[in-house]
Amino acid sequence: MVNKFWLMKITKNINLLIVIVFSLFINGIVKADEIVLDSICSLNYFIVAELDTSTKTLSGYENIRFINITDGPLDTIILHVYPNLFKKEFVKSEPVSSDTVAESVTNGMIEDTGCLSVSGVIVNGDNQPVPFEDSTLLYIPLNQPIAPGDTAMVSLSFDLNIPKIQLRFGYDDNGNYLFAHWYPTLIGFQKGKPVVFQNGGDVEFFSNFANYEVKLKIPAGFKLSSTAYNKQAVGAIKPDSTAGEMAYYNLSAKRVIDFAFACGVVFECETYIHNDTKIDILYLPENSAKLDLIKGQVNKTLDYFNKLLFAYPYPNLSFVDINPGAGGMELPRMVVMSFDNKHDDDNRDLFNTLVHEIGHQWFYATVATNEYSEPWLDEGITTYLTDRAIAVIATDNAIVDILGIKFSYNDFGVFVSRWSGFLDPLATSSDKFYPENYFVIIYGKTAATLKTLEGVVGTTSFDKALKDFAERYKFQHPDGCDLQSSFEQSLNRDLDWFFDSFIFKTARVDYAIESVKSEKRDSVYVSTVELHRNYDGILPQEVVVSFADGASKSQVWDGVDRYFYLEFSYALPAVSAAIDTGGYYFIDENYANNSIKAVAETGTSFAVASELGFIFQLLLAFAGLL
Amino acid sequence: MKISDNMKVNFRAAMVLYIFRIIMASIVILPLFVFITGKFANSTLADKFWPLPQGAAFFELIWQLKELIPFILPLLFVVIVIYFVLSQLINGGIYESINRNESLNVADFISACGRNFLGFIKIALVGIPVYIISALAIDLVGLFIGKIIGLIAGSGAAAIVNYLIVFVSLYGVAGFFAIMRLILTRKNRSSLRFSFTQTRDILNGKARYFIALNGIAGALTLISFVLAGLMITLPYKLSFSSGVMILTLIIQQAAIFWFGFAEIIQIRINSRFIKEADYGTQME
Repeated sequence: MVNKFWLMKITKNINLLIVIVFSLFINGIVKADEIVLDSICSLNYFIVAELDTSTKTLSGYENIRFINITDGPLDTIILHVYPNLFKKEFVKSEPVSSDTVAESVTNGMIEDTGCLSVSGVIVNGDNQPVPFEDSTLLYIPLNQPIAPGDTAMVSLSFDLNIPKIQLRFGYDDNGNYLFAHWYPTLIGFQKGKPVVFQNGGDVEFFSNFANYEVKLKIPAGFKLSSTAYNKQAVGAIKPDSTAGEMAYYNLSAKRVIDFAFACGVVFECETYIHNDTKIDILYLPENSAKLDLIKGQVNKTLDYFNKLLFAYPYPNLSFVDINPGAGGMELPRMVVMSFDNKHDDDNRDLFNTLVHEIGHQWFYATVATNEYSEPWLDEGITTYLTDRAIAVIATDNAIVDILGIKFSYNDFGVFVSRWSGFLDPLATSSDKFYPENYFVIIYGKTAATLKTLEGVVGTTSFDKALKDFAERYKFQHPDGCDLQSSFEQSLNRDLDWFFDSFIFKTARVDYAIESVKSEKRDSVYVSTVELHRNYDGILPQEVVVSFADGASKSQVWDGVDRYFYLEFSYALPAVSAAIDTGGYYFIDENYANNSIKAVAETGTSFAVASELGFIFQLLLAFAGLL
Repeated sequence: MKISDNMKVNFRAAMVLYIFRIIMASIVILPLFVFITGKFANSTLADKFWPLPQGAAFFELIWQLKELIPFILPLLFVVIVIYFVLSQLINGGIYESINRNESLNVADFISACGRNFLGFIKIALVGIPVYIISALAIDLVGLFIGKIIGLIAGSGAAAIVNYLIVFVSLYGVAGFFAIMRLILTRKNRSSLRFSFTQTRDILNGKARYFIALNGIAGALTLISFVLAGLMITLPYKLSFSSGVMILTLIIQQAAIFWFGFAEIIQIRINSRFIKEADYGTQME
């Protein structure tokens, strides 16, 4: 017991000594490399880390230099230690919405566990801080508070136990590694306020733009891809130097919200340039046949988003063929997803995931919204854009094709959001969602709502507003109110009614055409359309009436009254009337009553019923064998 | 050409099965038809159901149908239970008719139904788990052999081989139960054990012959199954004009009728095993 105590104390002192030396060393390097803390990057990381594959650990030293951008003095520095989510003794101090990972660890369902331990903390040369850990947060109380605008330097050493891959992080069965949020990370600040939250597993992340200098030591046989720009022109990514069985990489990345890297011995690497962007693809050899397909889709997707939003702002983008524990995962300048698509014969899933994750390079990596408190902003906008992009890039925008019945991203969005999408507004913090509603709302319902907004303002105007928003908040951290004000500014119209009803509140929409009746008055027919608003949500409606000769007439109803009558005069009686003929109002809860025929037709209904009935007849015939 | 007496009996028996099944199916289909017509007959959304209900229209259909779930699921359950019981009842008359090789009058038919009901119910209750286990095992074997065929001759050949194995084998199982029923019908007894042991004795040494003949019945049903599959998908690929719709309906119903007809043929085939065994003189 005594021996252990002294051993711990000696170890601690050695760590402290190394950190002090490291800190002095880094100060010199930082000055020499002129890493500037500018208005965008008031944060700077210098990390030296070594991967030990035999123990599945990563150890290193870190220097965080940042400016206090808050209005008041900082008396505590808070760091995220996200990997602690995988600790066996993980205990959360406050509820988090998605505890699946934590529960899996506690229940022993995850074989390996991980954790990030920090030691030897020095702040501005003061080696007295006594940090304390609260689950995935590390608090460092300061003896000397940091005044607003002042720069602080935190130096520390860390040891990371790497878990089996889960949600962005860990090693897989092939012995490949993926690292994101793997080092002690300063909490993010938004609009001058700290954003403090626990890593809940499924919930997303938030951090500020930073400049990174990372020195990595990994096994020499490993292939590597990272957030950093690969300095070699085109070809396999090579280490800066090797010593024995280890390889050294000096990596740097500027204005990114995290530094991610993936490495492994079984990867192959392909690099090429597309429109001044260096594309690195780290893939498993068995998926090499898909490379050309993937490259084609990557190029088309980048071209689409470059044109719709703004030119991809970074010099490189990596694609890593590793299953991140989800369908695909966006990381700064990096897309992680399995290229293996055995059950995806027509590559729909592969392509759709690629498009979605590439879209995140705009809405997540560059327009870096707060994924924790407003996850709808990055996932919802990206889901909406995925559908738009696929419709242009692919032959059709279906993400699933079952016996010829095709479903798009937005179809799913409409469907799932109807089931349980009314208990939480879109603008709900990720830890506050009603159970199971998180994914339904931030992906599906947000995309459906944005499609509806597109219908309200028109596609051209919507695209302009979205482009303006993206450019206005490039390398910034906007929130939902910023999105609203940016749209209002771009479109020069008030959208408070829309955002208040459908984004910040849970208004429901169902407009119905109750009837269309025609009567002859003098020489013309006057067709009267009766419209109902069944729920509280208000959307303007364009009512289109069609006539027997193929002609049509339309009028706009503001949609405010609970019921309304519109009259259309024409030489012939109306044969049908419809609202939302463009199919934009995805949040309308009943499409069946959005149109009406003057004379009912039972043919198609009969066909549907007879098909279902025929299937039932067949089942009965089979049962007859009993 | 004069239709033989055998065929007359077969045809009538198949017609009884068809009418019975369409009545049972209508109990479910008619409310479905009324519901869907009520929801969509007035809506232009129904126009998007054809040639296929794509994405939003399909989801809308499912979404609207969910209102029917609390009603349709219990109804389905009740219909299936009633179907099961009535099916065993009617089978009594049909088997008797084939055994005697004559179309029974209504009174005789009802009498035969009642007489055989208990024995047939017993066989069906034993048959359910046997069918389930057999179907799973046969499907696994079919998939495995299909995979091998697929490697050699492509996925089309694999599917054909898989289906053939499943149908032929399942009809082998069905054939065994058919003989059990025929024995009960002949001897007017309801003993399951008696029926089983007699069937086993009759088929002793004739397994290949038995499987081949029942396989023919299975293959005949497969025609109906393929036709049914085509009828579910093909109309969507054509237009859904009223002409095509009526034609589809006719072919669909013909497929269902053929399904039942193949079932009767199978009973007829298996009745020959009993005759060949000179069963009448050996028993009681």
